[in-house]
Amino acid sequence: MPPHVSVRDVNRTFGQRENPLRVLDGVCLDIEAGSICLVVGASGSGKSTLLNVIGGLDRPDAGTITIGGHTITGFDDRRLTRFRRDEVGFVFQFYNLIPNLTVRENVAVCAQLVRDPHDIDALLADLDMADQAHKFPAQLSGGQQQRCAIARALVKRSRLLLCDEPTGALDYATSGRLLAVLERVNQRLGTTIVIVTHNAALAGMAHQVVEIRDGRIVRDEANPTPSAAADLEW
Amino acid sequence: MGARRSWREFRSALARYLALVALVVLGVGIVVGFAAGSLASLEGIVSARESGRLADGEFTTLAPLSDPQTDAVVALGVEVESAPTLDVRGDGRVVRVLPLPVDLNRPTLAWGRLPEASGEVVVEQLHAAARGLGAGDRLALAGRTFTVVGAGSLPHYSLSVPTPDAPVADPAGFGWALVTGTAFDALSDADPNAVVHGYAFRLEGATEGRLRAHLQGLAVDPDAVRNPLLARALRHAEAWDAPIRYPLLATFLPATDNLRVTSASDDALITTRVAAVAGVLMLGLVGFVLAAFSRDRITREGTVIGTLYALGFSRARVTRQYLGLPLAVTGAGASAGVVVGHLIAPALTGMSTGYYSQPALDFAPRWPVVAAALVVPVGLVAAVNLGVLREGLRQTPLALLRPQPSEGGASGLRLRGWPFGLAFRVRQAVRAAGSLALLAAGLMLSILLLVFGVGGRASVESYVAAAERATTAHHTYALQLPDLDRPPPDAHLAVALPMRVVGPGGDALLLGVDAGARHVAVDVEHLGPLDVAVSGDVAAKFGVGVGDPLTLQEAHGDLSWAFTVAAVGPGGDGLVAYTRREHATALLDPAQVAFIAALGSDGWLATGTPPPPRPQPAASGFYNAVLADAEVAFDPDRGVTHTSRADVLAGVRQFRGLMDTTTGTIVGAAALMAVLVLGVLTKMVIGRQRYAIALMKAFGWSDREVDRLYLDVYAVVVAGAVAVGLPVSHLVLGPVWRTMISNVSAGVPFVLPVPDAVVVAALVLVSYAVVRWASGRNLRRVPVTEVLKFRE
Repeated sequence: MPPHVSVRDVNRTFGQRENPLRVLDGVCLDIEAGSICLVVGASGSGKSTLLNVIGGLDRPDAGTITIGGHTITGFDDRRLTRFRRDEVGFVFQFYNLIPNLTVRENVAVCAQLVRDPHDIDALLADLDMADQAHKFPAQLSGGQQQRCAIARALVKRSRLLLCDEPTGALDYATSGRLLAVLERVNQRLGTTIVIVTHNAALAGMAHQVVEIRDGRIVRDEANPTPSAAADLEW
Repeated sequence: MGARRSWREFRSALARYLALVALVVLGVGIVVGFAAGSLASLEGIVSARESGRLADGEFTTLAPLSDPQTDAVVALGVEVESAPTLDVRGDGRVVRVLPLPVDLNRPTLAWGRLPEASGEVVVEQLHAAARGLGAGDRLALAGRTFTVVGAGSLPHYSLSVPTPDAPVADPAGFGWALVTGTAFDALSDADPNAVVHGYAFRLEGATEGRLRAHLQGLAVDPDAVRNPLLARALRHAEAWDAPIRYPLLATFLPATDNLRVTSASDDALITTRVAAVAGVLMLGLVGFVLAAFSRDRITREGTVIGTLYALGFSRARVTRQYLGLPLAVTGAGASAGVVVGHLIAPALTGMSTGYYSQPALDFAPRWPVVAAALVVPVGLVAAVNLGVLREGLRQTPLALLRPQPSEGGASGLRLRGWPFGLAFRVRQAVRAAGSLALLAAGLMLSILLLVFGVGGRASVESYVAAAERATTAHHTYALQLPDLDRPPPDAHLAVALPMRVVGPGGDALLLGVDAGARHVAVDVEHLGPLDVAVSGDVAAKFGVGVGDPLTLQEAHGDLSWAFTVAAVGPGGDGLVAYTRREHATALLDPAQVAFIAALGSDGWLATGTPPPPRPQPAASGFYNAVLADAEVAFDPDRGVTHTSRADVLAGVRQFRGLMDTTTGTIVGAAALMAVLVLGVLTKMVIGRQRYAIALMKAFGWSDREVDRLYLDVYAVVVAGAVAVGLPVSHLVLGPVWRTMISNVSAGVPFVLPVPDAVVVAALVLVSYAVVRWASGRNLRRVPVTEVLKFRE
């Protein structure tokens, strides 16, 4: 069975010609469908850039990226938009909710994009957010906001969930509960989840752990026996 | 450092700031243009009046004042100067020839010099320009050839139109020419009956009422009358000792009652006031747009400001940093606007008051105007921005460093069950309510100006059409001495009495006609002696309707009558109140009527039959006006004034021509303002929501879908502004328009026909379409990677 995500020889350079900064340097990576892949690395290592090029938010300078059989590196803006709409869900470190929309409306932003979205109320209930459905982001805790962001990413039945430092702005207990949510999503829906984090302690819950340093993958290991999220400690 | 940051901010949002500068230049430029122009006009009028010694009034007589009569007038305490005129016709033009004034109503030369030899002439400046007459050119007048030695204007402006009731000046068709006294005498000797014996007077102790009463008491001296018909009549009357005394005074017009004199300064004053009101509105709008920018900038740079606070910068210093750019932009725009305003002032002044043939105006900058044009916008922007900055900077450094997402006033809105698209747009509208309100205000102002421009043109157009419909008589004659026994065949006879409308002020003609008469659009059959049916023009100009009182005073006397408006006609036929012929005749001096009756071809002068001992007005037979389809050959000695349909229509078309440039400028400026306000605010709101837009794109919303979600609300605002702005503007502009055209001798109601309303709506919608297209491009350029940079 082909990998859900396949990254081949991807380069990405920022900055001007006289002072270029190569953030991704010949990155190759495969991620199996239905797995949880953890990408760890220090600040500036290139892990977020890798996530962005996989999600079609950014374009690599060289190399190919294939998602679910589609080589997205050849896509124009229109097809890339279509790809993001159909295939990917994003969860950001700072939740990135639209502040003047309620929780339910924030989730509806993505539900509008597909023909057969999840039932928003059921999804919110599943994420223990039913009581918060008509509140605004400013009225929620950090954990609640992140769960709203997850609901938003999942509602369009995306097969790939890309999470950029999802616990970066959360305290320990809230982070634990959030990771449990992601684990449950992976198990129940079979969603492929890529989590970028600098917290190596989360590696225990992943099926695959990738370490990136100075734009190169220095470790790519499988974890045949991942731990339950609730058992993680850091 | 603050200046460097401001410069970088300016460069990073160059298009936006340039649009703002353009908005300021447009606002200040138009206001300064009108203000500088009307001030120059006012000063020019006052200066010309003083240097030319504007007379306190003018009167005309049927025969020249004799020396004893002149001495008697002077003895009252009046300076009086003979100012006869002679109309010379030819090539479809009328040139009113005057001898060079000595002391009163002296001309101001635009170029050249005054006539010194009998073969020299000075021509009215607009007429000279229209005919392309320059120094040394030849001008033929009544068979004599004159050399043009100068061009200029007269301070009383009365001679900008051939007759007081002509709607507007037509410099190509009418003008005056000043010649030496000798040359004038030679011309008048050749055609003595065409001379109008005019006098200019200046009160030096006497009152206007006393002078008028004295002049009304003077009778025509048969020996002084040059009109042979009149002279013969008077001599016969004397010989038979007939109880007939013909008054010498023909017209008496104090300068304060002369609409052409007062309107020149009234127009300039009105223009100044309109400019002031428009200026406050436009600059207020500009101030608030700039304030919205400042608020936006503070929001965007909250973390920078928080950092500056944290580093120990004082609030005052930060305020100064953020106030600098809007003030610099406003100052630069206002300075450029002052320059532009002074450049366009001559054109704007020419449009509004040029038809008075004013002397050359001095458009040098007036420092109060310059100071106000700089201080008001900068002060306004400073005040509004200071308020916004204080509110924005009131937060603690921590709150600025870590801004918390706000629902932007959306929490009060419960939209459960609403379709997503609608709920999203409603929440966006609530979030950007301030900007949208500003946008609506800017659009309403633009619509007001557009309605003024388009409606003004439509009103004049509609008046031209009405005049073409209503002016069915091809030839209209006014006769001082009609032949009552031989009325012209197939002509419609009428009694015309020049009147003044008591209360609103202004001239109107009381016209007595026969029931069912052709060329008259109203039915007078059932009118009582004190009923009138007024033309639509009278109704529009003086604001009267059926059942309203209308008091008319004889134009050159003291008698007045309180009429009741019994009907209102369709309009286009001028300022006319219609009554039955016999009712109008009953208002005349019976002696005068009897005198005219005697002058008939079959009257007692011709037959030699003595007059009745007590002359009675020949009520039903009297007329002094004739409306005819074909030209009538009247004896010129009967004092005939002829107006053709073509003359009337040329006058109203000239009025339309005058309005075209004004309305074009206003419409262009208003449309540009709509585009600028729409464009600037839309760009700002898009800029403020770049992150959210990028986020939507990251989720997979297409450019087109995002465009609709974010920009559709503007369509609603634009549609709402049009729906509200059109009727409100129409309502507001009705009375404003009436005041603005008070100098025009016609009732032109302000109308906005449906097609023109559609044009205004289309102009706004086209402006919106342009902005929407540009904004759509702007929105498409928001990169999806924006989502990786900031958060809201």
